[in-house]
Amino acid sequence: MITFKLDPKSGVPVYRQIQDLIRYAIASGLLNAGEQLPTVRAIAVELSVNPNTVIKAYSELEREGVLTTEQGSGTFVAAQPPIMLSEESRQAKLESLCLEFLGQAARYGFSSEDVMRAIQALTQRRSPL
Amino acid sequence: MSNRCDPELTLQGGISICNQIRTQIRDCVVSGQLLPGEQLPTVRAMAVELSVNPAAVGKAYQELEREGFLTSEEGSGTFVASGAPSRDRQTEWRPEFETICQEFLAQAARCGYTTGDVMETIEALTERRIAP
Repeated sequence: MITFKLDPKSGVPVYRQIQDLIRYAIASGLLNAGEQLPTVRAIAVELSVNPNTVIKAYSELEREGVLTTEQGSGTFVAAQPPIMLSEESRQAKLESLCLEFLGQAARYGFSSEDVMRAIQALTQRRSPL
Repeated sequence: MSNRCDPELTLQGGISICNQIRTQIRDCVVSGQLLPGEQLPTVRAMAVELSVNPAAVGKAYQELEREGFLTSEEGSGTFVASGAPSRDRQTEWRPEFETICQEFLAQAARCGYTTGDVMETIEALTERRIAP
């Protein structure tokens, strides 16, 4: 079973965060093909979010073929989930993540350069092993 | 009100043209290189200048309008929106900015991307002729 943890300050819509978590869990082997996911209600309660948000996350992943829902029995990881294994879609996903974040920063008056500088500062501060 | 201003954009391969245009125009607005009320080149002119498909420029303009950076007036062109975000806004967010960047890196890491991957992509999106 995966643990859902949201980042309320990230600015990333909750349904997207849920999707990212599920994709990551599948890609990293935490969730296996055919494994059952928590019910919509269970996640909604756990994360204190509207069940519709969870439904949105699930149904988009279903459309993408990552999850399948069986009436009455629940939501499962598809038998062969198309989890971004190709380098091309991996890059596209990263690109849209960055684009979204830069947009959020820009709305608060920070340019991409400001973001780069902040990231550089963060990396340099991390003490070498 | 309607100075023509040509933001200087540089595109590179391997990454979406539309996203590069979006990021670079956003940066021009935020940094004050493009001021509210300034007119942008037409979609066609920008497409010719950058040698790209007008659809990519059109889509970038549309997204920037949706985000509140640009506004277009039927028949007269596309302008920087009057309430477009600028550096003044930084005060609201500054104390948290590094933390937010850190959280973004953590989110990227959860999706399997390293800080290096993120930096490379941001660089690619913003590739521009600016002093180092």
